Amino acid sequence: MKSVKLQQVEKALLELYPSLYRLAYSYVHNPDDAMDIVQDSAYKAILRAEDVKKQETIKSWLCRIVVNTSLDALRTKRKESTGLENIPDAGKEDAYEDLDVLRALEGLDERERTVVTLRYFEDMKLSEIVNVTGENLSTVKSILYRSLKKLKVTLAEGESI
Amino acid sequence: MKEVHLSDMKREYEQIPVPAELEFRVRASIQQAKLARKKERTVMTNVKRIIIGIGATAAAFMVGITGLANTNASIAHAMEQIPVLGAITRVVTFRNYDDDRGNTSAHIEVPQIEGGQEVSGLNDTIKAYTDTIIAQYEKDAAQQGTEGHYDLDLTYKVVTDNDKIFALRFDQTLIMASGNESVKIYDVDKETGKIISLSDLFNPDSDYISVLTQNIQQQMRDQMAADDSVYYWLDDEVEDWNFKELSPDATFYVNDKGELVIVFNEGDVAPMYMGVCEFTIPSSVTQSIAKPGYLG
Repeated sequence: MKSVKLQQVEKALLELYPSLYRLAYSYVHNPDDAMDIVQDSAYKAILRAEDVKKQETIKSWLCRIVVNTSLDALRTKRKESTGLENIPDAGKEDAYEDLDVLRALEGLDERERTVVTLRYFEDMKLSEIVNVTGENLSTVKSILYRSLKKLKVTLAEGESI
Repeated sequence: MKEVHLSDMKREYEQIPVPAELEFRVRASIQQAKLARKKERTVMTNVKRIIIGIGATAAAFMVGITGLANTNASIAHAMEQIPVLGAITRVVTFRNYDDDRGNTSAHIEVPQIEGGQEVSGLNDTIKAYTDTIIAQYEKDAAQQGTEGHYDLDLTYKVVTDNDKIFALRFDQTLIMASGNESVKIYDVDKETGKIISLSDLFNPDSDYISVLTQNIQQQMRDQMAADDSVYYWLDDEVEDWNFKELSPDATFYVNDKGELVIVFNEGDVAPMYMGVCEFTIPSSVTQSIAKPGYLG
């Protein structure tokens, strides 16, 4: 029943858009670009609502769209700024100061950033992250280990990979 | 080295401010995508209705014209007769406007009202209006170049033809990257041939503006409560946009039940994604203040 899926996706978008925005923001560091990405992702999601698979959650499916859209946006930006600098402008025109956490995430590559963000900030299960990134479970785990090491994060009690 | 805790990082992450306008933009995207889905299935069809009412006694007849932005071309005269409006008037397709430039195309049917002297002014107005649409299409098509698609189709047909009311309906099919709809309706008093405005329908001493405004505001509230995807500028933060009072120049027609229908162009009382908004005012609301004859 396609209309059921459509309704679910629409509902999820209206619930999750702040999360999707933060996820996008963690890539582009700029409110305008992040909003564009969320808007673009919402459009794609509604258009392809029937593509949600049984075994994945709508949230992980939406995150996948946002991640891919963000990466595309970064790629486009890099192309545009070839010869200048490789880093997409990190919130230069932005009144909001990036907090330490986002600066810390800068030290990770895109794959690592995605996995850390989804696992620890969006509280997603590893199995869901697998659906977002398309990597297998053991790869996701090793990316997590590596990232935490890079971030010099100390796991507190109750926290786990 | 400072210890980093995940819980701290998470808190900071959650503090990334989400712009207030984002919700609005997400809703807009959802609506646009839904429209695009519909288009895939059918080809987006916008139906605009033009009503010509003929009252046995007073009767206003209303010619609505749906304005859309675009078309160009060869003029084909087709003096084909369509309906007979009693003894006085009939509507014919005066001409078809067809254009095909590959990626842009248009088909516009321009109707003409036949009748006595009274309708000549009306026909001039219709012609001026359709000419504007055609000119706009030609301009847009020229700017469009060879990229993208821009197709416009505007046809009309009779949907209601009874003793009191004759309704001419325009079906407008638009395929383009982003749509732009507008509606224009000319309401004409059948007896005098004069174009009438909203105030002509109501008793001079009645506060019809307040009555209509309140009813529309209530309908907006009810619709928003019933459906999350519906949004009107009513209690918006941007005060200036809010719908506070109906204009006496509002676009309107009378439907086949004799009810007044108020039409707002895209962007007038709601975000663009809501498209053209129509509100049917129940007869019970207008009964006590309407002049006899016009409304059912």
